[in-house]
Amino acid sequence: MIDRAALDRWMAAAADGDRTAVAPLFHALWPVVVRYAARLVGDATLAEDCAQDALVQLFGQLDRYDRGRDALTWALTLTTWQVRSVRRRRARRGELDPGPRAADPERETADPGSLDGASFVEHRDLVRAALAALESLGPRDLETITLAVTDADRAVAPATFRKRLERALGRFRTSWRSRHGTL
Amino acid sequence: MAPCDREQHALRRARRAYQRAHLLAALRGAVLAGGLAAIAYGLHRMSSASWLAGACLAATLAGLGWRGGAWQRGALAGMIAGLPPLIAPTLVLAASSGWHCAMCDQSPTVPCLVTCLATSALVGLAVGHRAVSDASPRRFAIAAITSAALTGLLGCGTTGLGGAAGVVLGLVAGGVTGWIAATRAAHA
Repeated sequence: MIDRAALDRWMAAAADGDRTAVAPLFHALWPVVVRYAARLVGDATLAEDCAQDALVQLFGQLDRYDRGRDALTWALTLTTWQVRSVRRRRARRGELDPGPRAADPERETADPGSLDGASFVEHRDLVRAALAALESLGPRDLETITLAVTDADRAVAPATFRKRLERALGRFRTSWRSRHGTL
Repeated sequence: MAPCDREQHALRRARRAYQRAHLLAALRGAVLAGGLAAIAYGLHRMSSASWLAGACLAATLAGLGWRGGAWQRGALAGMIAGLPPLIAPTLVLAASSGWHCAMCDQSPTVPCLVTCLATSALVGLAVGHRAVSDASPRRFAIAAITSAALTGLLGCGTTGLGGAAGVVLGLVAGGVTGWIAATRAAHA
């Protein structure tokens, strides 16, 4: 269970120049961010690379941390962007993207490795299309969807979160329809 | 690499990124101080006290930039707040002498001293008011008043002890007044 209040405190302290808060903040974020990245990329080593880059980016721009916002959400949003960048780089290099899958075996539904050639390409294209549609969303919508996907604790009231998620998914649907016509 | 090693490696990279950001902020502060000294050199006769103020400003902006957080925010705000006392005396002096005064840079006048005090008091008010809304008001205020005073001294320090006293007193008095006013308004 993540202690979000402690995370917010450490993040605020580190942003305020307190060097002693760096290590506890990092150790609290690392497992969460690695798990989250693993769910997005489906490859443990690549997930750790993404998590590392995301956290390096986060610690490099801690002075921009807004105390009014949730620390974990910010970290996960940066990780999402990092995963997206890695995907783009791999796509440019022509590497096959296995697509996201659940890191937790109990929740794993579709292992791209077990798919045949045509299904694999279809699965990969679907993931890319979804990520492209997500790219058009604003940071807040992205954060909301990220929180919903990760089942992380929410800083806002459940009703408020539901409303935000509904709006974010509405915008996601609109984005998808404008690209692919259906959903 | 074992998972634990990877985590340690990632922590080292994160620490380096954190320190690099702070060092860059320090460097930015030193460069800004250099720019301000250049402006002052272009505007006024620079005395040895002014150069000393410039060196102190560079050290202060670099140190507070490296420290980060409210210290850094305050230092930057103070540097901006110090611009009016740095520039205004020259403008006032030039305007009062019909924009041409051959002896101006050697003859600090009462208008100069009054301008130093008045502009410092006004920006001090703004600094005190802004400090209250910061997450760490005291750190912000101390950093802002210090860097504003040193920036102002680059200009007002050239007029001698009167100008220096004017900028410091003006900033402290204005800052305290702005702080109290903002605190009262927040509690009202």
